[in-house]
Amino acid sequence: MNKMLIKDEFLSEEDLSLSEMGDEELEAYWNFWLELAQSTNEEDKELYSHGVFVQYPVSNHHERNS
Amino acid sequence: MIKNIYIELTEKFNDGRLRAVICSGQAAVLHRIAVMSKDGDWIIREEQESLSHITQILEGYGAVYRFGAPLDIRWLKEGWSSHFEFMQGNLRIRTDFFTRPPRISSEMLEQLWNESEGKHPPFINKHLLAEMKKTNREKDYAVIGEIARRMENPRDIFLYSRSARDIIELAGAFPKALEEIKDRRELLTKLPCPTDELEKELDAERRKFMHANEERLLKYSDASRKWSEKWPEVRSLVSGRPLTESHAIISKNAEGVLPFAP
Repeated sequence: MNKMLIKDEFLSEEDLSLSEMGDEELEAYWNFWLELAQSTNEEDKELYSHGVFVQYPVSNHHERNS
Repeated sequence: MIKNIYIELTEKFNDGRLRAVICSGQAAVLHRIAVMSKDGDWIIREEQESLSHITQILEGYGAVYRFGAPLDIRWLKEGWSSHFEFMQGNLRIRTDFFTRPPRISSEMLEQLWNESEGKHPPFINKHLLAEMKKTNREKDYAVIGEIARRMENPRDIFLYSRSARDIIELAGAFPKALEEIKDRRELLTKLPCPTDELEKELDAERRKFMHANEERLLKYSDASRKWSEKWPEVRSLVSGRPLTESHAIISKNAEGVLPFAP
């Protein structure tokens, strides 16, 4: 393969296609993605995605699960 | 306008005046970069009217506090974050707030508030998004890479690009811009150099940012230890209460336990 044609790739084709979507299509895709993402709620219930907290306190796991 | 719970919340937060700007993952969606986060994050005005208004809006959704700092200026101004959660139908909605996001200077924040006026919805610009994405998560650096590709000014691309190939190509096309900007990013001072050398510098830089964020989080983790021990008791005190009541109880209980400054 010609090295000059290789470009660093950061994101997937699905992500990159967002820039080509109109507002309606983006809305539909975004909301659909949020619905699908609910399937991981149990796995990530103790976690934080942003901010200064990373995980629900370990000592509180028993209280959370009761 | 796009209809989505995070847009809806932002509109309500900003009813009457600008109080909250979408950041992090949902800003990446609005920049049409990636959909990769379930939670909503906002930079909010560090003033009581804004905090009270936002609390009222969240109460209307039945939101409850997650473990975190109270939505209170005394903690927020020291970089703490506040976290809430509610269900909307079958969607678990999490809302995270900060007034002093990491790596964002007060000048950048002032600019953010100025440029966000009148925008519907307001969301952070690419610079701020790239800075906020310098976390300890590998996946965030791919987002920075794509954000940099969308920037227009060569100086900005030099500052944020995650691609050695792109940087070297840009250096050839815009040597003057490189000269003007290179002191703001250490790896740029290595140019000219082979691609693989710059790739190593990029990797090392990424590791440095990740470690810096880990150290920052560790500081807050250590400072919140006593609060985390008290949290089950506090949580039971607020169980079933409307958010504004919970907020008062949580704030009172956090005083003297969760330090204002970590």
